[in-house]
Amino acid sequence: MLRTLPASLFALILLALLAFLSPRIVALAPLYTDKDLRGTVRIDVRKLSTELGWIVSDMPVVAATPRTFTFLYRPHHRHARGRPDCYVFYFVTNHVAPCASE
Amino acid sequence: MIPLIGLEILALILVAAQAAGGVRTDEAKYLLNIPYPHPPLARYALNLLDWLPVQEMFWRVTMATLVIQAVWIVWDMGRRLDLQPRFFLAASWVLAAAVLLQAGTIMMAPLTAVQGLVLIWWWAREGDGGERLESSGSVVRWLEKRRLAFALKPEWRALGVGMFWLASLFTAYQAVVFLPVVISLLRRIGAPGWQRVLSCLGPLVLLAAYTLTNPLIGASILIHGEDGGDLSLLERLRGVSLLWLVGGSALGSVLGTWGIARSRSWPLILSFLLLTAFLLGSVPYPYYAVLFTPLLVAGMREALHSKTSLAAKPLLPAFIAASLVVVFLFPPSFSPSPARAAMQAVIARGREGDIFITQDFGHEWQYESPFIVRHFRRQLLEAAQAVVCQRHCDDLGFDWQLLPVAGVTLPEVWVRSDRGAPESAPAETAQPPGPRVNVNAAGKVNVKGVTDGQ
Repeated sequence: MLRTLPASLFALILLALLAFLSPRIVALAPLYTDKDLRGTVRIDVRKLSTELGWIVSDMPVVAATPRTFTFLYRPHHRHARGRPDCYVFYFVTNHVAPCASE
Repeated sequence: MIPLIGLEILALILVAAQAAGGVRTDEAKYLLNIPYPHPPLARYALNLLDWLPVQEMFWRVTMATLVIQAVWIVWDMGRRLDLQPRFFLAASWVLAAAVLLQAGTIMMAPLTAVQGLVLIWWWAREGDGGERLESSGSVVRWLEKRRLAFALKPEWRALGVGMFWLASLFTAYQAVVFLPVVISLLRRIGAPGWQRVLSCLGPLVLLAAYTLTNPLIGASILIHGEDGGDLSLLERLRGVSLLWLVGGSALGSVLGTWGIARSRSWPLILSFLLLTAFLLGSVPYPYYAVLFTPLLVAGMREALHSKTSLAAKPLLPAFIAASLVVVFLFPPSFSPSPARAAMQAVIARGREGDIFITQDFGHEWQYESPFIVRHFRRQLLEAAQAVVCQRHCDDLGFDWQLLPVAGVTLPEVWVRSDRGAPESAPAETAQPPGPRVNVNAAGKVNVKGVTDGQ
């Protein structure tokens, strides 16, 4: 029992971290399995960045479906406070709405 | 105590040299915890002190201290050498051109180099027969006094390796080049087979899982790959050779590589080859040079251990001279980015609003700004308090004026004219920074500036 404790502890830490990451991986899975979706999201993120002047690294994509993708807007600068804003981009209507209004 | 202070003075000198150039784009990326291209552990820790006015300087000093004082690990690695070769071995770390050029930077490469050095030291300790950590009297006594002697058992030591490996991988991807050392270290410790597999592969699997949560990392790796796509094999080889030369100050590079080859130590050989392959496959940025240093130091240790009776006495001055030449050939940049001066002039006006910048710009602009920084879009000017034009801008309108910035002609900094403008707009009427969200006629919530497809 004592002999296996360190390895069990390590496995537990790894599993806890994996469980923490899993929801985001599942939410982004379509991005990795659908090449067309990946291309569309890339183009639309670029378009949003161009139109709003937002820096791409300030707007990480956190979820994707065949109809929408969700991204956060977290501008990085000194003493940035508060939670990032969450937006959903709708492919069909080509518009953005805050996540809360879904 | 005196060597400790002397080393700290060296660290502070290196900090002063790097600080003269201001915050670079990569440093800003880590200080602001911008989520690419590396995993989050170190950049998250660096960003925790964002509230500190001297955040940059604090981390420069901490990183330089960490890298320079790591010489004590090298000193311990040479405990079976005579005094002169032992001094030379220690100098081959602390005076290596790559260490002198990188110690004062806030980058992941020097951190990975120190992590690699710790792994190599641990690996060497476990392999040095009767000189294992567990047989080190003072360590045993210290642990026994605190009823922690169980930590010396192989299973617990393997847990320590696993945790350190996990932390190293979540500091920077390039730590993966030390995988052969980790495999060999776990074997030397004598941990059970399945624990060895778990400790080695578990963190790698977790790193892969983390990468899937952040598409920006994959995109940035692809972009970096494309950046180097037009480099020929010859140019890549030349780039990696230069990194290798800087990593060990030429003399140490040759001696260390010879030592690695001569030792026939497969973990060192494989790590060296992995690092070379990694650098050949990516763009050979100068800051990667320091990744060679721990491996070359390990190689030099092997060379000095051999019975070929290398004369250490003339080696030390030759090594110092070689380091000086290499540092002279590849000095750190002393020309500061205009970002700090420009942003300080804007901040001094005491206004609110976003900062718009024309053309491509580095993350140092974000670091120097307490305001949101955006790409310049003329149609969004109402949200801006200042526009930074990296080339000459056309007139922005009658309510904009050029802000003189001491010592900077380009970029041009345009700010809203003082004529008729309130010192600080009242909260109700001030333009909130960032996106505007409004409701259109159809009742849809739109972000201003995004074309509505309706």
